[in-house]
Amino acid sequence: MDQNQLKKLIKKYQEGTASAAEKFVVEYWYESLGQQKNKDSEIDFIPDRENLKQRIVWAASEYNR
Amino acid sequence: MKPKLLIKDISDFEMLVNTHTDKLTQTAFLKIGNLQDAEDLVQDLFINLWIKRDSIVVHGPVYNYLYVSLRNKIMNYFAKAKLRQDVKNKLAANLEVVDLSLVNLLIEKDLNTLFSEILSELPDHMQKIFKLRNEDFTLKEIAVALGLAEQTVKGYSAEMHRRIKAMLIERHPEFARSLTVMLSFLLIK
Repeated sequence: MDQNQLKKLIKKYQEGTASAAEKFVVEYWYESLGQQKNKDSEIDFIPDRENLKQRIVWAASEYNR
Repeated sequence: MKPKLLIKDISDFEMLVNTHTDKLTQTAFLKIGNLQDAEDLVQDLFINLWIKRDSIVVHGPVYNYLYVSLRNKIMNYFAKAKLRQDVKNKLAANLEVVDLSLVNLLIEKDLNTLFSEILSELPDHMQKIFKLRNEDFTLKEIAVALGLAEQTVKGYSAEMHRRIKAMLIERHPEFARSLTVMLSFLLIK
């Protein structure tokens, strides 16, 4: 399966037109993402995302009615 | 848990953000492999929640709701036309898993039925060979059991593989390549 096939599957999944088998495949693929232990886990050493939290709350207040 | 409005006011929202941002960002980062994009997705997710807060009712644990929302965000992200090279690499690295998942699917679910359907359309001698191969008999043993030359059994066996593959692909053209992978698990021993 190549990237374009996968993208098509994801689109069908998002549009709600995927068959049961296709749904299973997309969800299985999604769950498998990030399961491998590798250098990606260095995020563990990044301190809490205080800046991001403040940014989100600030951005929300911009939408206030 | 009773259904309840997720966010009534800005302090509910702040609490939600403070409680879940770290975990969601970590999940997004692990899935897409790019921290900046992961943060953007999480921010998007929360802002959407805030905008639609009057209509968001949660039936179960809040984290499950957020996890599914994040999954939708990430799926959309992957479905987008242009992806950066690092994200593409991430996507490519997981494609093998998709094929494996198909193998599991085909073995466990509806295709089990399909498979027996296909088998029943094969000539008797091929069905016998398939059954014996599945019981781990060698071609030589099968030849003896059926009173045929080993070369003949080999020929039948190759023809049987060809037919099964053609019939499977005819029924499921969308998985043509993956079916080939599956057959290598099921048939080549």
